[in-house]
Amino acid sequence: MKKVIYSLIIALLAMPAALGLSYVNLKNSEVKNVNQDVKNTAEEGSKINSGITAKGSTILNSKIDNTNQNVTNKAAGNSTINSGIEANNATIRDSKVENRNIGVQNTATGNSVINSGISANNATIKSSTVLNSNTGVTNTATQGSKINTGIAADGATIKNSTVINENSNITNTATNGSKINTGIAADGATIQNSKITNVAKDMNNTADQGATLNYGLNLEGATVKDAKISQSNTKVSNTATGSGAKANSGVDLGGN
Amino acid sequence: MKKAIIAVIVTATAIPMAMSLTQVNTGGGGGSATTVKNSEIKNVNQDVTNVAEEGSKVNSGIEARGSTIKNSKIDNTNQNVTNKASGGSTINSGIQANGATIKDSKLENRNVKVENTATEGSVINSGIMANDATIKNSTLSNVNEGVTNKASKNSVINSGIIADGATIKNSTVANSNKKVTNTADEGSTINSGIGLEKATVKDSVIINTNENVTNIAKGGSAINSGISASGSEIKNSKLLNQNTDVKNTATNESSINSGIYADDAKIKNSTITNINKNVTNTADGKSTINSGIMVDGATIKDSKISNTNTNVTNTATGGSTVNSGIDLGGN
Repeated sequence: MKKVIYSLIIALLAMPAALGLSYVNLKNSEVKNVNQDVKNTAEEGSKINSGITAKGSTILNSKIDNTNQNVTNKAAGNSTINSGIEANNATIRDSKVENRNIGVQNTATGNSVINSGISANNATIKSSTVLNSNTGVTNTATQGSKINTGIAADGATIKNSTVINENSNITNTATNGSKINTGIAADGATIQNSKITNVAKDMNNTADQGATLNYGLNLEGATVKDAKISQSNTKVSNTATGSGAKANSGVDLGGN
Repeated sequence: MKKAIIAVIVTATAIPMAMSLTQVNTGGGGGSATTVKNSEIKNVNQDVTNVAEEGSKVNSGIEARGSTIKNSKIDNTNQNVTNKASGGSTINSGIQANGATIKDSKLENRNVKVENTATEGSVINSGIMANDATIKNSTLSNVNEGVTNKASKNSVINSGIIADGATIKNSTVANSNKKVTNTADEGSTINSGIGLEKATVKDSVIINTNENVTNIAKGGSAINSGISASGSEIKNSKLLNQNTDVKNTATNESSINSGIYADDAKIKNSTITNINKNVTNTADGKSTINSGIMVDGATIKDSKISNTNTNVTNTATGGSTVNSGIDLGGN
């Protein structure tokens, strides 16, 4: 006769603890994500990630690749959606980070945030290539919301690297203190020995009532050394109305 | 004749996610281990109804806890089977191989038209359990077709494969769910996928497939129909998870994983692939759904991680979180 006592232990861990506190070390690897015919709707302080998040991670000699094709992102009521690449505070060396948006609709309302581009604020990027392209993208931000479909690298350190952002057939509408970046935003960044290129083609931009729009190069407070900065606009329409509305399709090195 | 006591300890924190089912054999009077060599063990349940009530136990499957299985085949089939466990009871209609040593062998389990209902702190296993087992040069295969799992009031159902803490080398672990509905309510847990928490996986292939699967988790419950391998060490291996026509609905602080969840894992020279096609994820009331790849806190070297979403709808409301992409941290 057997007498066995065994316990079935179910450890139900708290998901929030796993989110935001742990970082990945990635070496000699490839990370690829594809969204095709995807609809993301986040409401009431919710979060959706259908892209790649690598905040605070260390990425060495690797490739990070993300594609959004026919994707609709709707964030409302302090919600957040990432369908692009989020690498804020990450360390990226000898790597390639590439993001593509083809036929993407982003709508953010009520202090919500959408990233379908590359967000690398305060990141350290060395000997790497960062590529972002938008084709057929519509961004609508209202009521203090934020959308990034370009490259956001505020406070980042970029050395010996190439950063290229390309926009084609884009409609940006920002109202009521909202912000849209489809260009390259690198306020307060340190850029050394690098090439930064932004190309805008067939764009329709409207900023209203204290809204901010950047689809050019925003480099306020940045330190730029031995670098090549290039901005190109073709068939671009800009409309800024209402007090405090701001649009940049050129190169802003401060004081705009 | 066996006399077993099963204690189920459910440690529920705010939002459950990772599931680990770990066996602990106690010392005094432990069951004597069987050695199976060059043999075939076959069990078939057809048109069987198992009812366990008031702290009772039914075994209509195969029990091989702590056994040594070499160059053998263990085969279990459930066809048109109804398992009902209530009041802290236990039913096994699958394969129980916790703590076993399995070499050059094949463990095969099939559930066709099976209904598992566990309530009031009860436990049902109609899949394969191999916690803390040593698996070498072997194949573990589990198939669910036309299966309905309903767990309520702090109950647990496994109709998939659980090998938490196991050492898996040169082996294949394959699980398939076709036309499966999992409903977990009131702090319950269902696994119809593959659980490999804190396991060591080397030179192996882990495959999980969900086709026409509906997962409903409510009231602080958790469902895994994907691959859950947090804290594992994965080397020279391949992990593949596929969701086709899958609906995940999590409400009231519940969680569902139908993707690959490998937080804090060590991944080397491996391929991790997740594919979502026609998938709908709906999370409400501080709930969490992962149908993508989550590897927060992992160390990844010389590896390839790939995730594809085609025709996917994600809806998160009421402070909920959905991941159908790749989460390398910080989401």
